[in-house]
Amino acid sequence: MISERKTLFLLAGFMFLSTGALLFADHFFATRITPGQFSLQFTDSMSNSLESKIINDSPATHFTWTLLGNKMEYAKSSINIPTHETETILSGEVLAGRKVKGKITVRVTDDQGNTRELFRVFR
Amino acid sequence: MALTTLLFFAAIGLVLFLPGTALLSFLERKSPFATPLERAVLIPSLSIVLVDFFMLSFDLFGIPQKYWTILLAIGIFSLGSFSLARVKKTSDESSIHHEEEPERSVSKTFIAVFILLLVLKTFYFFPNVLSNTTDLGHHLYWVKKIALDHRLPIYEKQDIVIDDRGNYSISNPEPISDFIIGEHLTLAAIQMISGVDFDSAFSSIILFIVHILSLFALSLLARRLFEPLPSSEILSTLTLLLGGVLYGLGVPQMKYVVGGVVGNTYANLFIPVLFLCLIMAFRTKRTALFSLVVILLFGLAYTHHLSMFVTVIVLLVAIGIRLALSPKTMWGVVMKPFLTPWPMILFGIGTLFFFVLWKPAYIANTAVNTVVGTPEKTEHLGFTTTQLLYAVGEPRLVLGFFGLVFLFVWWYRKKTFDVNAVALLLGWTIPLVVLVLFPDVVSIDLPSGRVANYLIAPLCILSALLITVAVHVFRQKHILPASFLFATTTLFLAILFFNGYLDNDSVFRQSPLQSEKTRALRDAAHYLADDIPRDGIVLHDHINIPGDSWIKLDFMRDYNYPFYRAYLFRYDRASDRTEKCTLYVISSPHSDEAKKCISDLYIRAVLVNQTIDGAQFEHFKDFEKVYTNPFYAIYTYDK
Repeated sequence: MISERKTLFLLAGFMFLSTGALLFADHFFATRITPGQFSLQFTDSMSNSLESKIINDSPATHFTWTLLGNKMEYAKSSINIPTHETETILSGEVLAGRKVKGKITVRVTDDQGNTRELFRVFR
Repeated sequence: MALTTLLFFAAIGLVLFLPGTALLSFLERKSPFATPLERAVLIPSLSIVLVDFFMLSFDLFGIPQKYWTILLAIGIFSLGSFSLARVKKTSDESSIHHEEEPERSVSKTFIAVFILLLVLKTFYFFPNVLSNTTDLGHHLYWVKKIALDHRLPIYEKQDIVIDDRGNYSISNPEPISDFIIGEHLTLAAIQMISGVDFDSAFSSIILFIVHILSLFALSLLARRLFEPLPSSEILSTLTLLLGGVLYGLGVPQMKYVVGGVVGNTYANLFIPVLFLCLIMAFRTKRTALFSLVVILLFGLAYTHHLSMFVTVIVLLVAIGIRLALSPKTMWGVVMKPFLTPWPMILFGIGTLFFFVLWKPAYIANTAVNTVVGTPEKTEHLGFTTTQLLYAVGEPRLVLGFFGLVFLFVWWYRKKTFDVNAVALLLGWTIPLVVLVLFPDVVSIDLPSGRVANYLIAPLCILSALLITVAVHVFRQKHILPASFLFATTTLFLAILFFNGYLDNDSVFRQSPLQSEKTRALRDAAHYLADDIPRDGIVLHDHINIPGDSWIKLDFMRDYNYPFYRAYLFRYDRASDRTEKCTLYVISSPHSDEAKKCISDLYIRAVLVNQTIDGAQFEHFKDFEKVYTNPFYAIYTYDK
């Protein structure tokens, strides 16, 4: 048998450890790098160009960026993005000096084979 | 990270422990009435009620709800209570003292069971800590509103409405009764003091602490109820085992914590602590304990309406049973001590607050009337015995039932047990069984599953009682050889463990790792709120987006905003979803109905599960895909 006072300290200690473990889990899962997961978003578009941002929450570091429209490839480039880099902006000109019409797609593929697409309709 | 963690722990200490410690030190200034372990559950319960009281009072006097006002209130109250306790203690030193309780001890088995419970629950919680549950998102909207507006929220929401000419618009805010202010005040206080991010697991962790304390309180209540028994310590350990370890992950335990069932989780702490105070009050006749019962009862009323309703029924039936069992002592032991100045004054203050000064939403909107009447909804029609067996766990129901019969028969024949304890346990069990199995008989319209959950606590105590007494009797009377008794007890416990762990195992298996999806949803919601112009309306899906209610935390525009496509059956209920815009725009954006909705409401973006609902937007030239992650996509309308 152990006195209640000692028990209280012991149990409080375990509660503290448990809470600490959960706080660690929160931090771990909130910032965890998941293999092959990245997100893509538009940041800007003009009359003939598109700007998009890759948020790289993945171990992949090499990305291929393609601008597609009307069954043709307007632009293509590749870029190295360190893991957890969040401010990588890719900009692509569709047709220099000419007004673009129709659906233009931005396709990004990482070195793990994952692909994401965005599209914008130019009117 | 380190500073936030430090501040978070400090805020927990300041909000959940300091005010209760101060109040208890004042009330126990002459002599302690609770043991150190009992204090460990009394303190947080009282702290929650006190912080609620401070923040409600701020609202009445127009004081802003800020971290420093809350800290000031806690500081002044604690300093005042500690000082008064010290002064009174010194002046009362020569006066007559109440008898001090001897220092108790706890078995190593109890500690082992507690650690097992903690490890099991932490292990389950660890990968689920980043919440993706709808309920917690709803609650955190109100918590964040308090933190942002620095005043208590008015519980109301806007909706999409259709006028006589068939045009859609957004309604004015309408009051809602789904939330009770006590569910949000402590969380808001901890968030404001620590500055912890809403996008973190802070609220789930607080619920986890409250949940563990509630199980602890239940085991301490079991010990107090059967204190005269030499094996009350074993009974307490068994209660902890039956209540917290076996069936320890499902509803209403970890599922409620992870699911963000805030009010119920808090109430599961208040109820055993309230009964603990009540039993201690009857034994010691200390006015302070009767006052604590009143304080906790109002704390419960400001936290969870269903629990309050159930507790009041339990107390009324228990009083009736107590009167029937021992009418002669009823007035002197039970009623008279409550009619002393302090409990009466506190009851008066509580009633004034509750019915006049700061009415909870369910009183202000008279939502309480809805529970009286013949049950109509399927989930309110009552359980069959099989459903009840499944809801509370087969061994607990069977053992609990025999425990109840044994308790009454034993008390009737031998009068060994405290009559108040017998009345409380009978009053805690019988009306709940009636409410769950025969709700139409008593014309009470409550969700049967939720009510069944309240049966778990008394059944655990009764099961533990039966096991303890059976083993004790068999050992004392030498009815069975020691080796046979050991073998049968081991076998029995093994069956019990198997059953309880089977339940835990099924919960583990049902919980696929959701953290990736949760993270992806939060990221999409941030983009939706930050990067898309706010002049239009945003919609999202509820059916295929787990935890979608968290999206509203990025907007903080209205409780119901962004509007969402609900489960399809809700559009068929005449009293539920009268508008169908949310359905049309997400399910068939090409339709004429959807186009009218988009035009009338100026809908400019939708957030959907890309795999399931992305296709209908991909080939529609009026929508553009502006955001994508592994699970979700955002389409904007641009025409």
